[in-house]
Amino acid sequence: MLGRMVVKAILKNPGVSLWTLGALTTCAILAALFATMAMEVQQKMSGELRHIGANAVVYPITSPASSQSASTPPQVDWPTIETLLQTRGVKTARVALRVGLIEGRPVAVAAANPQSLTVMTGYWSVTGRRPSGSDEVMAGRSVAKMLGLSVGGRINIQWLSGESPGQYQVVGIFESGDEDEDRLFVPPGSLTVATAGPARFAQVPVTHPQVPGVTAGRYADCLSCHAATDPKIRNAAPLPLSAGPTGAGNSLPMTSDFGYLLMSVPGDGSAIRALEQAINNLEQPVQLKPLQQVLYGERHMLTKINLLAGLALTAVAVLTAMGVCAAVLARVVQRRKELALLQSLGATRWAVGMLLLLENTAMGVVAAASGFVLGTALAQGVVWYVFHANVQPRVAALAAATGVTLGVCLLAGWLGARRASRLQPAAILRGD
Amino acid sequence: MFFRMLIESFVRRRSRKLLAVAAVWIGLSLVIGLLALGLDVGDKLNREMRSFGANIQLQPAEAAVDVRVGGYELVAPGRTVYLDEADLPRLKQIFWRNNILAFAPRLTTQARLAGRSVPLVGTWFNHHVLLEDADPFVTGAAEVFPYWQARGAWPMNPESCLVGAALAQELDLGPGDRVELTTDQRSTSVRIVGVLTSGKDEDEAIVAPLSVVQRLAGLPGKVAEVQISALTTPENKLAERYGRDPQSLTPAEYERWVCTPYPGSVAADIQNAVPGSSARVVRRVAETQGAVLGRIDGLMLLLGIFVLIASTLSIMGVLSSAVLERRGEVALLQAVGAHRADVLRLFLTEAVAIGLAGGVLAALTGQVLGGWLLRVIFDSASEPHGVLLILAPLLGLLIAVAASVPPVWRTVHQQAARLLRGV
Repeated sequence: MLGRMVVKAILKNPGVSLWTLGALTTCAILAALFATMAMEVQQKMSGELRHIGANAVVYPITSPASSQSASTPPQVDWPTIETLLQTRGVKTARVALRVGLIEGRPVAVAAANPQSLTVMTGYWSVTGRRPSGSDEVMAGRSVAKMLGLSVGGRINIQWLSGESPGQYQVVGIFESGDEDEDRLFVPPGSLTVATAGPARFAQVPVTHPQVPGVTAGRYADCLSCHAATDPKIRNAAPLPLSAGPTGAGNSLPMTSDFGYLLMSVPGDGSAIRALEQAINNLEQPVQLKPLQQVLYGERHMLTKINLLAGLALTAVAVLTAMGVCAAVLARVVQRRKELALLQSLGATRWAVGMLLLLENTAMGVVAAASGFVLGTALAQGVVWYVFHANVQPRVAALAAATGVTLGVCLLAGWLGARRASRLQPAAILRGD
Repeated sequence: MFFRMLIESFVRRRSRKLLAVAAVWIGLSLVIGLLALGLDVGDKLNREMRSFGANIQLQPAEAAVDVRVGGYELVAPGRTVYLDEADLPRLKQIFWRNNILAFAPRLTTQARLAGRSVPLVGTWFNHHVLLEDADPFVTGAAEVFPYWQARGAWPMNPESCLVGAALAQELDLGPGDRVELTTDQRSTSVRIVGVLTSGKDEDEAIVAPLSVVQRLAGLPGKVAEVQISALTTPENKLAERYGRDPQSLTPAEYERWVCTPYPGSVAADIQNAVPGSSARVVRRVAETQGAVLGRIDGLMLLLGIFVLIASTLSIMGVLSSAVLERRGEVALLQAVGAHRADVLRLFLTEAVAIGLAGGVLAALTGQVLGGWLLRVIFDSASEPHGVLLILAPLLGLLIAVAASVPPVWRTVHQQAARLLRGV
């Protein structure tokens, strides 16, 4: 009986029912939209920021050396680590660094897979293009300036490890604004030993007089003091310095290979900590270091964006609540004769109030369901427009749409019931 | 007669009219508040990009290329070239001086501590840069490196310093400890006031006020580099073209490039101001800025449109409801001889008055609300927006009229007799 009355009441007053349903659906749409957006924007923005490079790095830990001779740091099983990371959706780029000599000047040369490196360094501004062939090189702006390199030029790199010198064509010059500008980048095939073997320390000849105004002793002193500051290096490699002030042909200790892994980890600091634990479980002599600067910045920005979305949702909830209350009150006004008749037939004010609440709740349920669908579709449109990506229907969004809509329904229903309870049946039925 | 009816309508239905004004006021206050927020959000979010650190780095033009491999740093001889600390106030005298939000110089040397060599980094902490014809500009590490986390306090005098977290753990140092730093030139005793976590090289260093490091390094008034946080516009095609080939820009395009605070043009301005310097854009930060702001602009626009639609519908609902309640009154007016146009005019005039009153109130409170929201979200003051003072009453008027016309129109076209009988 009650259910039938509710259905009839909704259907017999199509105009004001549609108005109320429209207001409630708008409320549900906006609640679902903003709830979906709040979750999607965080994820999509985080993903967007992940396109701008690494947020963590894995590098080898060297153990203390036992003698004064050159030491060999422990072997790292990089493929195992990379496999673990890839199964967790982490993008990686393994970089191998070694020192080369160009015209007698030492230069850091990095080897990395061009595709992986592009993912991690998409923010570089490259004049020319990135290297792809084994005889191609891309130079950082600083090193290009120092060596007078230009796109299309050729360079000859001598390797401190004793390998035969390599001829390379400069195919690009990049700007990054960080220390990478001091390096040359080549594809991994260019360095036959670098990516596979362990780091080695070697004494190699450096032609010093080609560095104006500086003696080999100055080089050696600088190297000595800086290497000694890093506990990993200090412990790993006691440096047999033999450089003297006499010029050409002095020896400098250098690492010939040093591998590390750039990682772009989806998610926040907790995802990186979980990954660190997983890497530790592999018992490899490596350490994961989150890039605090990137993580802090991302967290900070996402917090602000979430605050903005939450605020907009609150404002929308308040505004739509106003609209729904107005619609429900209009519904009471339009149906005052019917409500007066019910009361004259013996319905208590409480029963009339309950009827109105039930009508609202029924419409609220329909509005929440349709609002969730439409809100998710609208969120899809917004996310596609802003991020060119798809959204997933979220249970939380359905909960938000239902919660907010029913909350507004109950509030409006209570106001409507209160208004209805003030009606004077006799006067209304008389037409006063 | 018309005005008497209008005034009577307001006097006799005071509470209803106040309710309608309140509905417009509250709804529009939210809209204006969000609009005020929206107008500032791009700028505020841009400032928030400082959380990623400096976006421009200034170095000596002749600085040599360092060779760093696996912790080795082969410092090339050009490192003997430094910038003068005395030139740094010029950063606040350039064309883009208002876009320079913060800067901090750095000087790194080696010191002996507890029998071992440790990096010693000097920078500014809460430094007052004296400017001509302006208040001192307060800047330092906390502003430029917001991701630095100091457990304890920041150094506030030349006798205090921070110790990097890794170094503190290794040497068992903590706040309150006093350490003796020695270089070839001299030695000094400083007290550790905080443990620093930066996620970078500073974790294994002592970080002290710049003057301390300059004294220990024997380099008074010198700095190795300056990290600068500048408010910039994300790069677009024009900036990219300039980056690839400055000569490819026409004179008009070049003027536009110069007059837009792209990272590159601000860096060029900085470089010109500081003798012997080379400014480079930290591309990672600049690109992040572009990505975030590009997305946020679109997002905020869409959110703003949705909020505006929701508020308009809600206010219209409230006002329509108020008009519907007065159908009997409309019928009575028609029954005593009023023309439809007269009734419409009466109701529309009421709507105009309600809309304007609500709008004027919303113009005031909306701006206050927007300012409050900015303070809550960005901890920053808002700029007054004159346009909102005009927009709010106009919006109120439009919404009130739009909300009143359909129900009044419907009512005046119904049969007065049926309405009066309550059918």
